[in-house]
Formats: sequence, C-alpha cells, structure tokens
Amino acid sequence: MDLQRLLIDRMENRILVGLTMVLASMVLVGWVAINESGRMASFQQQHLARSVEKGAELFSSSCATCHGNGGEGSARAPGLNNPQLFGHDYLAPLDTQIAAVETRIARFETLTATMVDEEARSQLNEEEFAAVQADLAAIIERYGEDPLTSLNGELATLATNRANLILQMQSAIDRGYDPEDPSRMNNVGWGSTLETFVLTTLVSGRPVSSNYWPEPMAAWSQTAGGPLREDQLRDLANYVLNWGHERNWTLEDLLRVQQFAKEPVEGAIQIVENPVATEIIDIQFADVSGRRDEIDEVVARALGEMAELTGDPNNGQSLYNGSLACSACHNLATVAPPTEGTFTRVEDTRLADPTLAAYSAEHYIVESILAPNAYVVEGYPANNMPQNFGERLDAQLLADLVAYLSSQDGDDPLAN
Amino acid sequence: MSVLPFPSFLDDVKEKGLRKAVFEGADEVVERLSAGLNIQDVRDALRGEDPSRRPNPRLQPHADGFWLHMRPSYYNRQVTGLYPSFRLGWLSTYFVFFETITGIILMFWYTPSPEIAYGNMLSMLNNVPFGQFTRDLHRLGAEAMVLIVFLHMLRTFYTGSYKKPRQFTWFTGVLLLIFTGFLSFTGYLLPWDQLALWAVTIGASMAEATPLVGEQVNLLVRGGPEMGANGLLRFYMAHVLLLPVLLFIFTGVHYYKVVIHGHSLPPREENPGEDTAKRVPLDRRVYFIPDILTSELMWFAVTSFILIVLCIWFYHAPLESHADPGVTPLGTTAPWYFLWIQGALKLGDKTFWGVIFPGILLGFLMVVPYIDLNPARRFAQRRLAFSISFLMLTALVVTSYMGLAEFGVATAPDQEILNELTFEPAHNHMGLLRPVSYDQLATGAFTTREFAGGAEHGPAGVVEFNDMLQQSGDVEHLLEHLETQFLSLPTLRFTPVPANAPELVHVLEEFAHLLEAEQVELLDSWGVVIITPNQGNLKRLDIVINWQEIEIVGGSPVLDDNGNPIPVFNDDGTPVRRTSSKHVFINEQSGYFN
Repeated sequence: MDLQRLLIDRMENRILVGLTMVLASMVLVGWVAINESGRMASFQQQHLARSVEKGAELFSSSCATCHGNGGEGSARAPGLNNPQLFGHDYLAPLDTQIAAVETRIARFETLTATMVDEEARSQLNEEEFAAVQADLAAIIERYGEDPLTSLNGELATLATNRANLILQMQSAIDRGYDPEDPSRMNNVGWGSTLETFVLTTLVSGRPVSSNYWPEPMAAWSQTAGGPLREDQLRDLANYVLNWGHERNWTLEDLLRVQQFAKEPVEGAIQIVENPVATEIIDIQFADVSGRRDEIDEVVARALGEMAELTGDPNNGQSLYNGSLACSACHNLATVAPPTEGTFTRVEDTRLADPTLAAYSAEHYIVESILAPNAYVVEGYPANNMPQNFGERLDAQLLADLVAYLSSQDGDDPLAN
Repeated sequence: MSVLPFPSFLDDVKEKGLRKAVFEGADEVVERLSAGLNIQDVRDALRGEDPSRRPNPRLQPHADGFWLHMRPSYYNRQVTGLYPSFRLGWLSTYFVFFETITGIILMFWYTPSPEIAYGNMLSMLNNVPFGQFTRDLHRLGAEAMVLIVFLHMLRTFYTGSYKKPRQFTWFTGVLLLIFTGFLSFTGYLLPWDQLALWAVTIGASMAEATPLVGEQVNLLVRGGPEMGANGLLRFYMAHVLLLPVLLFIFTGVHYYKVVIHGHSLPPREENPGEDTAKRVPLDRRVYFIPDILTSELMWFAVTSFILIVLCIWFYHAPLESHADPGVTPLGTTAPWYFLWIQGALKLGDKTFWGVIFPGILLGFLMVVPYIDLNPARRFAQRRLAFSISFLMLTALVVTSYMGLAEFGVATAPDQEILNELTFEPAHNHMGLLRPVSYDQLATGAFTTREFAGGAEHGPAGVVEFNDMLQQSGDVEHLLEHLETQFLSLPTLRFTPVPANAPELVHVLEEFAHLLEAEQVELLDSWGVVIITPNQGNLKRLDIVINWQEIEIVGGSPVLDDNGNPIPVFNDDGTPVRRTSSKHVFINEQSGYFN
C-alpha cells in the first residue's frame, strides 16, 4: 500500500506540493489582507447596531421612567429624542437666506453711493468703474427698476416666515426651548463631541439643585458607584445617539418633546419676598410631636393670610408641574400619592382619620405642603418630601397651588 | 607567532606560500557555502562524474549541530508512512509551535482586565488588520490541538507503543494531554464574553468540589469568591506563562524519550516483547536529510494551508456579548472537552463525580503501562486491554452527551420556546426571529393562531383570536403584562401577517409548531409576536406565550386516567392562565440576516 510510504514518495513531488501550498497560502493571506479594511468596517457597523439593541433594552428598563419611552422627556428629566440635544437649528436655512438678502442690500447701497459720489467715482479706473456698472445692472436686471423696494420686500417676507416658524414652535418654547440658541452643546459650552457629553453624563450623573430638577440624574457607572458597566454605558450612549442617526428633524419632532433641558440661571430659583412659613421648614418626622403647636400656629396664620386672596389654579398648575416639580413624584402612586383625585382623596379618605377630625380639606393640604412630616400617609416614607416650601412660597403662590389641587376633585385612583 | 596580533590569512601565506593559501582558502569558502562540496566536488558535479569517495562532509553539521541533532539521523522505513503514526505526534508538535506563535501575536492586542479585555476583542475585530484571522487561527488551533493530542494518545494505545521501554514516554504524554486541556480551558476565559465567563464558571466550580480544600482551591483559582479581575489575571498568567512552560518542558522530555527509544514499529513487525526500533537495517533506513525534512516541510505547508482555508471560509472564533455575572444564558455548558465531567456531575455527588472520578481516570491513564504488563502489541493478543478501552471510550461519549444542556436540565417549556425564538448569536446559531430581514419585520401584532392546525387556520384564526381576547378580557391582561415589560400600547388588534413577509410567516409557523409540540404542559396555548417601532432603524419585538396552567408535580405534568393533563382553576371556576414573554430589539444594521 502506498500510504505506507511518505504519501508522496518522490522528493521532487514533495517539494512541489510544499511550494504550491506555501504559494497558495500566501495568495490566501494576501486576499485576506485586501479584504481586511472592508471586513473591519462592516464589523464596526454591525457591532454598533447590536450595541444600540442592547442600549435600547437598558434604556427601556432604566431610563424611560424619567426620559420617556420614546425619549420625549418628562417633568423629571429632559427629552433626548430631541433636536436641541443634536443641535438642529430650524431657523438656520431662513437665517442664511436673510443674510444673503441683507448682503445684497448693503452691496446695492454701496454701489449706488459710489455712483453718486463724485470723489469716490474719480478714484476708480475704467475697469473698476465698468465692474461697478455691471454689478448694478445685474441687480437691476434681477430685481427690477427699484431693487431696494423688492429686496426689502423679500427681506420682510423672510422675516415673516421666520416669525411664523417661531410661532409654530411656541409650545416648545413654552417648555423651555430657545429657537435662537438651539444647541444644547453650545448652551453648556461643551468642547467635545455629543457622544462624550452623553457618556460623561451617564458615568458621573448630574448633581442638580432640586430647585429646577426634582431629583438629580444618578451616576450610572460602576466607577462612580452606579450599577452599569462601561460597555453598558457605551450601549446606552449609542442608543441615545441613534436618535440622531440619518435624521431629518421636522417640526413635529420638536413639538413631540415634552421637556427641554433647564438652564441653571438666576430666576430658576424662586425667591419670594414674603415667604409664608419660614419657621417650620425642615422639621424631621421625629420632631413633629414636639413642635406640634408651632406647626398648628403657623399653618393657621398661613390660612388666615390666604383667606383674603383668590388662588389662580392655572398658575398653581404651572408651579406644580414646573418650578416646584411636585408632579415629578406625585404622578404614579409608587413614590407619592398621585395628583389625580387629590382633593377627593383628602375629603373622603384622609379626613376620615380621627386624628384629622378638626381639619378642613384646605387646612390639610396647606399643612401637608408646609410641613409634610406633620401627617405621613401610611405606605409612604417619612422625611421624603422636600420640607422647604414654607420659604419658597408666599401666600399668593400657596393659594394658587391650593386652588389647583382643589380642582383635582375627580375619581381617586387609589380608592377602591 | 602571528603576523598580526591575531591569527589571520597572512599566517597561512607565511606558512604555505601565497598560491596554496589562496587555493585552500577558496576551497574552504566554497565548502562552507555549499555545506560540504569543495571546488573539486563542484567541478566533478558539473562534469557529471561520480561523487568523490571521501567521507561525506555534509553529514558534519548534522553530526554535531544541536538543531539537527535533535532529530534522529535516520528513521525506519516502517514508521515513515501514514500508518502507524498518522502523523499525530508530529501534528501535536506542530500545534505547540503554531499556538505559541499566534498566541504571542495576540498578546500584543490583549490586556487581562475585565474592564478592557472585551474592548480589546472588539478592537481586534474592527481595528487590527489580521486581528480576526489570527484569533480564528489561534482558537481553531487550540480546539484542534486538544483533539489531535487525544487521538495521538488513542493511537499510541492501540499500537501498544506505550509498552516497555516506553512507559515513561506515555506518562509524560498523559501529562501533556492534561496541560493541553488546561491551556485550552484557561484561554477560553480571556475574551471575557458570556460564553467565556459561563463555560469557565462551570468548569471552575468543579474545583470547589475538591475534598477538604475545595474552598481554598476555588479561591486560589478564581482569586475571589466570584470570577473577576483577579480570576482573569490568574487564568491569563496560567495561559501565557505557567502552562506553556510546563508544556515546553514536558514536550522536550517526551520527545527526548521518543528519540532515545526510537519510533516504535507497527506491531506486526515485531514479536511480543521485542523492541527493534533502534536497530534499523541499512536497507530500511530513511535519512532525515533530505527525505524526512522535505516531507515535514511539505506537511507543514499543507497543514498551514488547511488551517488558513478553514479560518477564511469555515471557522470564526465565537464572540458573544460582554460577560455579565448577573445574566446566565440558557443552555450554558463547559467547553466540549470537559463535557464528560459535566455529564458525570449529573450522576450525583459533586465531589465524587467532579473530582475523584476524573482524578482516578487520569491517574489510571498515567499508570496504564505499569499495570498492563502484557508484552504483546498485536491486537488479537490484547483483548482485555482493548475491551477496557472501548468501555472507557463509550463512557466518555455517553458522559459527554449527558453533559449537554439538553440532557437532564429541566427548563420550563415556555422559557425554552422563548429562548428558541430570540437567543443571541452563539456557536453560530441564533434565535429564529433574529435572521428575519428587517423590512419583513412588519409593525403590528401577529398570532400563532393564524398558523395553528385545524379549522382556525388562516385569517379566520386571527379574527377568532381577536374576538376571543376581547370576550375573555385577556387583551387587558396582555396590555398590562406588556406595561410591566416597559411597553405601553393603547390597544391591541391582531392582524394576519402581510403577504410580503414570508420570513416572518415562517417564524410564526415554527412558533406555532413549538407550542403544539408542548401542548401537554402548555395547554390551550397561544403565542403572539408584537412588533413596534422604536427608533428610525430600530424595532422592538415582543414575544408572548399564554397558556392554561396544569397540575405539575416534581417537574412533570400530572395526567388523569385518559392521559390528559389536569387544568388548574381559580376559586371562581375560571381557568388559571399564565403569561410569559421576552423581548428583543432588532437594528437594521445588525447583520443577523446575511
């Protein structure tokens, strides 16, 4: 049997086979080399896509509660599926056109001034003069005998369009959008890419004042004591950035955003001139019984001040959802009782408690705002609600708030 | 006394005269360059004359050079063919060097830290030219090496080559087999993906079963109670330092013994108890140079070529998602060459089957030549040894099969089906839903009732399903369930799968079949697939299974006298229905579908 031999008995043939194989291997390796850059690029794309998938999973379970399922944002956190985050400027195309027309007007004025001014004209040589005349002729040919009027007309139309466009964005502007300064990156003066902005925010969170966000953005990375690994943060960032993937932002996209980023500027912190109850702020639950009389006295005084005022439920609502951010916690029944049916709940359930026998609904609400620990509803933790509303509200704002809550007299979702 | 302060050509001239010195010098240069032919030899060769009769100076470097002296000068013609060696020993050696070289290249791109190891893998795949190729070669080589070394052992056993005087050669061979297994196993962890973490977690947990010092061994191996940064570093050090050093030392010992004793001849060539390997008759000698050397160079080229072809078209080293100690993938197993231990573990006591049994087995293997004193090497005279080996091989196959995830691990059928539909790519397989083309993932809600057998078949099944959900109020339950999975839908209306989505139809058909196959445990079940858009190029797929609960005792359903399962009812007499679900996101560019 020939297998018994070296398989290939003749040395020439062995050398031939060996050389052929070496050459074939070299060709194959060369072929791999040629395809390497394409393969690496397609792997990169595929990996990014799968990373976005993993990010979507993390986002829906960890981030959507505050940033919204579709990234539209909520009272607790800004929208991320948001042209502002990606720096889209809706006014830019119009601004470009306006700038072009303004340049043209300036040019026309310069040219006509040159034609009128003898001295200026005399400084031009023949060629330059011919050029000025040709420019003028071109403008007149395009805009008629009176270019200034039609150019100004065009400018006026563009300005109207611009104003209309801003008007269409009004509801977004009400929620904090600034069409004149539409880029979040510019606002915060971020010097690097959007990706690093998102990543660093995820890593270290955002310690914010509760005066403009109800709760800070947590630090999510394990490095900063959070729950997520570095690769998971990258997945999340890739998911967030995927909202801008080949995106042509439309006005609907802007209007869909429920909440825009808030700037920590002066004025965001409400400073009232005559705070209603500075004495009873920061009373811990354990201290309530000791300071019972003081609480009752201050609450009675506040109620007295409010009696002469008329509350504006609309302003109350905007305080509730806006700068005071009550709705951040009072939305689902998990953190705090929901807003819906508050007044009904106070009347039917709370006042049924014998310890609150002497209370009116208004009294209960005011006491709960000014001294949240005075009465803690069973099932919710004490010391949880901010205890500084006494110095952030004056009697009028308190009355507005109470007026808004009194309008929540529908069915109580907790009652059954 | 030299002319110059050191010996030089001038001394020769002084001694022999210019003419002679020049001629001798030229002769020496030619002889060095041609490895033995002097000018006279070259002249003779050109004239076509017979070679000179002086002792062949070409054997000189072979006779005292280390590299060439490592190899025998000549082999017996009986052992140079495919049989009896099948080139397995040579191949094992080939892989030792192959793995070393590819491994050293990979070391340039790898850092053994859980924070960046996986990132290193990714950059190897997307940013290092030949990164994937080298990794594929190294991984394929590793798996092949385990197999080849094992086959080498089998061959040695069946040709009786472990018998006197080669007992110690066999002993070092078994050690090399163990080192190879551990090398492959320690390398398994390094990519730090799910596959690595869990295969190694299972493997390393066997160490825990070591009697008395199990906990200490476990801590020592993992560097902590769980596999983490220390564990990875220890595995890395074992993989690139400790085990290779042992492997090289014992490869040296092993091969030294092979050369000392000679390659054993095929059993039929010798009488029992005879060992003639070192006495090679002149007419049977095959010289290393040039015959064996050219043969080996050819084999080297052929084997490398085969590996290259495999790694270009047929094999890619797996890489799953980032290791996550919190998520155990369904169907996790140890690497295939340790499956037999995993299977044995299912037989009972962890300490016995996980440590003592494999220990005894390997110990037995090592001492086989000292127990089996029967000098005969021919098959017919070794019936007992062969019988025992076949028994052991059978046991190996059976325990390996038992080690598979399918065997003896009870998973709820709904979880099995959900996993079947959605699992992430692993071992070149993936959940049925993933490879559906992106444009065929039509937004909407679809049900298996459209494809279930019987009268409900087709769009009528969908209409009936919608009605049934509305009447029973299950649609509310379904919406509530989806809410807990972070999917808020205002309503749900099921529609037939669009005609232009045959791949989705196929998946739903499979889904229906899977449910039907489990109709005992998943009584009166239905499944739905709900596809919702998430981002411009991203869709969310929710797969829900709903069934009527039956009585289950000890993991298997209780059957009544007619062999039917017994449904469970609420206090008010309505059947208890269970829901379980899973969801995945699919990106347009994820490339599951090409």
